[in-house]
Formats: sequence, structure tokens, C-alpha cells
Amino acid sequence: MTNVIEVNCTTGEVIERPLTAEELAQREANAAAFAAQEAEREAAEAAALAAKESAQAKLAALGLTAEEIAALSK
Amino acid sequence: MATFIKIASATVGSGGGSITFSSIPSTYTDLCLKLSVRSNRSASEDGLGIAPNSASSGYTYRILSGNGSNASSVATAYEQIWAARINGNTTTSNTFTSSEFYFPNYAGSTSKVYSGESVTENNGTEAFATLSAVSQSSTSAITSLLIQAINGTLMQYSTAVLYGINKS
Repeated sequence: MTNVIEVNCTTGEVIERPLTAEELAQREANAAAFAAQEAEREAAEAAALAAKESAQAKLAALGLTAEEIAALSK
Repeated sequence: MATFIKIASATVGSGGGSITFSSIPSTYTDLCLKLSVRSNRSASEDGLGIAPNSASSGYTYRILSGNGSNASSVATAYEQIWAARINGNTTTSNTFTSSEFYFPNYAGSTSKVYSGESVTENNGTEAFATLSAVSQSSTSAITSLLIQAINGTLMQYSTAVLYGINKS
């Protein structure tokens, strides 16, 4: 069970309580959103890396050296 | 000259959990939140969520981060409270993320915004640095702040300190 430490900034009172049902539902929604967004980001980065490697391979096939290929991206 | 006044602090106990600062006085100009946090998620990182007034919607955000080999920029695509990347529980034991978030005009009647910076700590090849800019559409004064790990729970000894800023 996940607890919340709640500090009342006016009174200084500190309590530790379980998450409410609403807080638990929100937490699950946040986790799902985070996972979805991270999956999209990782997929986009993987696609960009694959495209870069493909382009570099094609340039190498044309006869460019590794140094010449690297110079193109500077 | 801005003056930092400590309002409250909290440290997570052995069971782990989240932190909420409630009944925040409206008497300051701005708020500043300083964190030392670690999530129990079994990964190198977790998301940190900060929810003013525990709001579940109305967020717009931009998260810039780098991990030592890649840089990324993530913008609003989902309704969530993402504020930073923090240590997950596969990072070096007993290491924590250092974060600072600033909430200007938190008691005003316009949309609430905050910005922050975070750095994870890890004795390895991967560690994250994050810059965050977040807006939450509520025009109500911020009277509470919920701080939580998005996929796990904040681990023991995670600490949050809330400061009020007076500009005079």
C-alpha cells in the first residue's frame, strides 16, 4: 500500500495516510501516460538512429571515408 | 533581494510513499521546492510528478533531458503530472536525485507555472539531467503540492523542503 506523508504548512501537523481511491486511480493514469509517452519517444529515437545508420552505410557504399561521413554532421 | 523562508519539510519513512504539502500560506511572492528523491521503480529512472492542488488535468509541459549519450525533448502529449526524471532503483545504492522547482506568483489568479532542474546520481554510464517547464491551467492559488514517483514510490530518506520567497 502506498502512503502519503501530508504536512500541513499552517499548523505543522504531519500525518501519514494511505492513498485515497481517487489518488490511486490518478496514480495509475499517470503511470500509463508516462509509459505511453516514453514508448513513443524511444520508438522515435530508434527510428532516427536507424535512419542515420542507413544513410551512413549508403554514403560509405559511395566511397566516403568514416571521417568524411562524420564531417557531414558537424 | 529575495528572501527564502522555510515553510515545511518532509522525509519519507521506511515504507516509502508520496509527499503532500497542504494548507500552504498565500503570504509569499513565490515558492521554491527542493528535493532529494529516489524511486523504487526497478529501472535506471522514473518520472517525478508534481501536482499543484493535486490537479489531475490541465497540464502543458516541456521536458528536456540528457542521459550521457542521448538528448530528448518531450512535450505535452498526454494528461499527466510529469515534472522530471529521477533515480530509479537500479542506480547505485543510496544515490538520490537533486531537484529544484520554482513556482512564481503561486497565489495569483492566472494559470500556474513552474520550472525546474534535476540531476540524477549514478556510478555508471547513464545519469539524467532534466530541465522542465510546466503550466497548469487552474487560476486558483496553489495551496497544496503533491510530489510522487510516477511508476514507483519515493524511497526512504527521500526529502522535500518547501520555501516561501519574499521579494522586498
